[in-house]
Amino acid sequence: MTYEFPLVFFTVLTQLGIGLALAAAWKTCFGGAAVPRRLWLAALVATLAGLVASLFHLGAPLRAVTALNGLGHSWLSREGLVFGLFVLLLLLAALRPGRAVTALPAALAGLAALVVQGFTYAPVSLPAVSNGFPLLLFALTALTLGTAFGAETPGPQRLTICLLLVVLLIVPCLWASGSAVMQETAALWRQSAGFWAGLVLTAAALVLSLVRRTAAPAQGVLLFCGALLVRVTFFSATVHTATHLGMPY
Amino acid sequence: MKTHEHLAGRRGFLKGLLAAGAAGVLGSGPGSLLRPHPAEAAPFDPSAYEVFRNACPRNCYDTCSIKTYVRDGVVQFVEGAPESTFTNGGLCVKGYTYPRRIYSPDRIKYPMLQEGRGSGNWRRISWDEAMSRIADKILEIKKRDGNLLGLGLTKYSGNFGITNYGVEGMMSSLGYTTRFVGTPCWPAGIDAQNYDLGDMWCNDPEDLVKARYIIVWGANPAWCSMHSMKYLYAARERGARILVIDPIFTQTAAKADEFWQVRPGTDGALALGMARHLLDAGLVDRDFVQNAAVGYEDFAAYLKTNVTVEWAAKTSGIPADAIRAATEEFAAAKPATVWIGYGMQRHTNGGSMVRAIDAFVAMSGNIGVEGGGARYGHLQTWGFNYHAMIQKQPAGSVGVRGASGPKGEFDFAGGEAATYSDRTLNINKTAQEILDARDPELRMLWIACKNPFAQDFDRNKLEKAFAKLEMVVSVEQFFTETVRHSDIVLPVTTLFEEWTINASYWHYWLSLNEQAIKPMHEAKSNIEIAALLSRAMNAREPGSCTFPQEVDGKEWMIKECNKGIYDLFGISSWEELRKGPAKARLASSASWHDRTFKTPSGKYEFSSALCARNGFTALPEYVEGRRPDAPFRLMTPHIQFGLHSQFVNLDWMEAYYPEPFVYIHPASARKKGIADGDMVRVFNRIGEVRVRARLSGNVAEDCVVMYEAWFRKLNYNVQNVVDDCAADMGAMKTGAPGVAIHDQFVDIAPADGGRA
Amino acid sequence: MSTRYAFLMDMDKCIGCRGCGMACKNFNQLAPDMVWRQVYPLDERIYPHRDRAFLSLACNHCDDPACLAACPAGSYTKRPDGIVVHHQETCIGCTNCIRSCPYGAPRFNKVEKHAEKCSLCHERLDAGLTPACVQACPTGALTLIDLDTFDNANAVQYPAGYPAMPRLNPSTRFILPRMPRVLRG
Repeated sequence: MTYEFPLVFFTVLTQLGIGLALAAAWKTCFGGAAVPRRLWLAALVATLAGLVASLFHLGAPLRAVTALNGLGHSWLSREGLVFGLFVLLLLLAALRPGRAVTALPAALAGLAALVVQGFTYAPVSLPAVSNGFPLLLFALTALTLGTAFGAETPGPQRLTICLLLVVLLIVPCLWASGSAVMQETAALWRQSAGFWAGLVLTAAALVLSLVRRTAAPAQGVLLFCGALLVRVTFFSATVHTATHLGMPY
Repeated sequence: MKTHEHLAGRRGFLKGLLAAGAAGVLGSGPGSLLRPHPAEAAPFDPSAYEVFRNACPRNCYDTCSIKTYVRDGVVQFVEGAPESTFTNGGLCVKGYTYPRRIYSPDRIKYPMLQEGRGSGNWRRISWDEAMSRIADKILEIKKRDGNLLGLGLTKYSGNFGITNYGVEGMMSSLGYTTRFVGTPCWPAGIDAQNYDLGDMWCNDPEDLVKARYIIVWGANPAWCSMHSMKYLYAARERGARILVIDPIFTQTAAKADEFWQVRPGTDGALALGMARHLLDAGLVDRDFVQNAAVGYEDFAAYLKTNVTVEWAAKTSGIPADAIRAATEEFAAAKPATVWIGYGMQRHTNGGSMVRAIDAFVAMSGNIGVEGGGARYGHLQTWGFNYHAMIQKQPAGSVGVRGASGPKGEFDFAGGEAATYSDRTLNINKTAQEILDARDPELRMLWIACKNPFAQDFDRNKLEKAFAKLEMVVSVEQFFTETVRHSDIVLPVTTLFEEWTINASYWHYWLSLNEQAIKPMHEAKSNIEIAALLSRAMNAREPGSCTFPQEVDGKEWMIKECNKGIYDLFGISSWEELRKGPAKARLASSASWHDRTFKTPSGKYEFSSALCARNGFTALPEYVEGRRPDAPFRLMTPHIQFGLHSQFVNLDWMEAYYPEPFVYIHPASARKKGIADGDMVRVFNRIGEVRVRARLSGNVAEDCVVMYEAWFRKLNYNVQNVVDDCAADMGAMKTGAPGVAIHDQFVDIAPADGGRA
Repeated sequence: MSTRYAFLMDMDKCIGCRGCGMACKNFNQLAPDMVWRQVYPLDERIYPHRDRAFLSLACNHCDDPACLAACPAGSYTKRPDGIVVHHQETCIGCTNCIRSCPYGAPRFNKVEKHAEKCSLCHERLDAGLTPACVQACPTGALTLIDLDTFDNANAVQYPAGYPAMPRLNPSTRFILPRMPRVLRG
């Protein structure tokens, strides 16, 4: 079993960056108070950290730039491109914080990055996740993290956490009634300590938010760790069709 | 070490890419990194290689003819010789690992000395030092005992290349020594066929296509003679029916029309039941039994008195109606044939079972018939000079008084000097014979082309026996268990590093084995080692060794050839074999086609006086098998990934065969509390094996199966639980009876809490 | 006249010997632990005798290959004759093809840190030879076919034990294994 830690950190960190960017853009367009530059900078740093993590996934990181060769067909190439764009727009937003004209494009690029990631990590060879689930998971991860670190009130955070928990609890049940590979994926996820620990941390963030009646970085840290643990499960315990060759599908 | 020469096209592409890369790393011009152009790898060019002829010299039916592609003095890859219709251009899973064997980092590279046997404390020594130590020891033994019977040789089938009989020659050139004789492989069946037919002589396997009914009886060609499978398939496409009779649902069984899971050791009863039904149904070939055979009436009387189909059914477990139906189909099909496997005769009653099957085939009139026959094996194409093997003892050598018997099935030398001869010990009881040897004790053992700790029986006893030896010399390529029990190991060449010539005991092709590359490291061929030893011996005591002190591998290969061989294969010289293997010019693809048998009577002998004289029944009567002394019968046959202890140790093979199993029926496993994949103990009164269990309905409920193999990283050895109980026959033609490898009994239990 | 090369894997003839896979290692000089062709025994739920019927699989040279689509570096190309070629020299080792191929055809070379897979021995084909695995098969269970002319009513594209991927349209075709009549003692 490979844990794909570079991909775990890449996806969670970039989703943190996207979440923060969305929160910052929301504040810029609809919030009353001025948006601090550090929120944009935090989004930028998280995204760059994620991109650096992704390099560790490559056999030839020095030739990472050639990953743009496949734009015509490869979602992974497009992921590279859209993140490049996202980083540029985050930089612009950080240079000119508080302006919708820089905030909105950054937020839109972030949303696009989420969508592209949703496609990239949903290959046909992983039947359990070859659907909208990765997109849903990634978007909810971005939103929980974004609201935890960037929202003023706990409401949006509680809502997104609840949604995330519901999705994580329901989806494996759906797999259990699916094909053999999906069933095995469901079983492996349920046997995964990381998955349950991630759920507990996420739920703890919800409890904390209910108890303290505010959105606090502590909840964000819980959510971030929870997201990492669930992501490890996502990358290591999702069964590949090739492992079943010779067996019923 | 190896270069990807024939994939140069891909490399060329890389170079081009790098050059173009300088023009614009992110540009869009041709060759830019952002838009790599499809690599047009150059077509494979066979002419870029030197091609050598080789032959796989393992103890295998198929003895493949190999084409070896060499570039820059390195074997790049191998393939089957297309000229041989038998090999047909393809090797097997084992043969394709040869490039790895040559260049394996695990190979023994130079002579080494172990300070303390089993200590693992090896140090490199020179060939000079190795030979000095060995020669000194031999001379010391001779001085102490007044003869060299304290020096023993155990050698068998690790390399059947003819010049490797120079190892036996080396021993003879030193004097009269102790030889482990016989064969664990096929001796009971050899003697059985000699009693019935006068020799072991099978049809050309390529004529299987002519058969209309084929019984594969106790053989698993899908694993052990893959190249024969195409003939079975072709026969079936022409309408033949294939019946496999085996205690295990083998891979061959899965490809048959019908499979009978016979109770092990009762094949004789089954064959006699079938013979009885031939009689009952009036299907006996009157012409054959009256004109080409003797003793038929006695045999018919025996069948009528002692055998019924119901009895055969009850004994073997195969329903009577199935026995009758198959017998009738077999008799109706012309021709029909039985392939008698070697597994079937590895029983205490093995020879008697082969005789019963021979008799059934003979009664059906299929002996001497193309596409028919009771096929077992042959040595018709082995008429070499045995120049390397036949060496003269030094003058004044002393040995055992009188002549010795045969020293194995490949002992074509014959005519031993009558005054003295070698001491012969039973190869199938190696451990016991070492322990029992007296006057003199066995003091020194030379091991070549053999891995006793993987092949010889009762491994725990063998450890004790080796402890008695004063010096053990192994000639090897890898650090086997036997090497671990040796004092000195000498690195031997692979088949690609030496000259020799090879024949098969199944098909009728002859293959040249050219030296394709220089020997790796300090490896030497067996005859070069013998020459080195001769030099060391003569330097110490002139005249103490008659083996030539200089040998040329190619010259010695040529010296094995003779006019008989050339005529048989229709060639004028060995050089013709450089163009590809040659097939024997056969008057007929059928053995015994002229019905001239080599028995004392000159006919097929249903009743053999010779057999009776040797202590068995004159008729192929039913003999009961060995009685169990543990709940499960253990069978340890061959798997396709290895040939005895060879091949499975290579990392290439580990990619396809990483781990052994004990195969057990799910119902039996349930009773023992064993789940699939559990670690278990397979044990009996002589030892135990720890291995993972694999549940499989391919084995009977009262049977477990482990495939023999040597894994470099695992402590797995089936000989821990296989004792040295003898088979019935084999002594007449091979010098010692066979061994009842498949009459072994064990118990099984979860180990280490099962899940491991 | 177009050509689309493919493997025909006759499970009825296959004896699971692995000669195909080892011949591939031998000719293509693969790393010691690397295989481009693997032989998978059929589960007892598909073929009732364990370890006695097999799928021998390398690259299926799909019509619309998932590896090619997934590769960000453009290291995969498809030849006009249908062969999907992976170019190790431009591979950046992102393993996206390995994640994406449902048949496990591309594998990761841990030492050289790139993906690699069956090339259908196109260098041999271009020289008028058969692929190494086909040449090796002792029973004729593995053959090279041209899908554009192939016509065998018994052949199937998706046998049990092999995932159906209509969008990719893998080229390999299979003949299903039969079973003998079994009498047990």
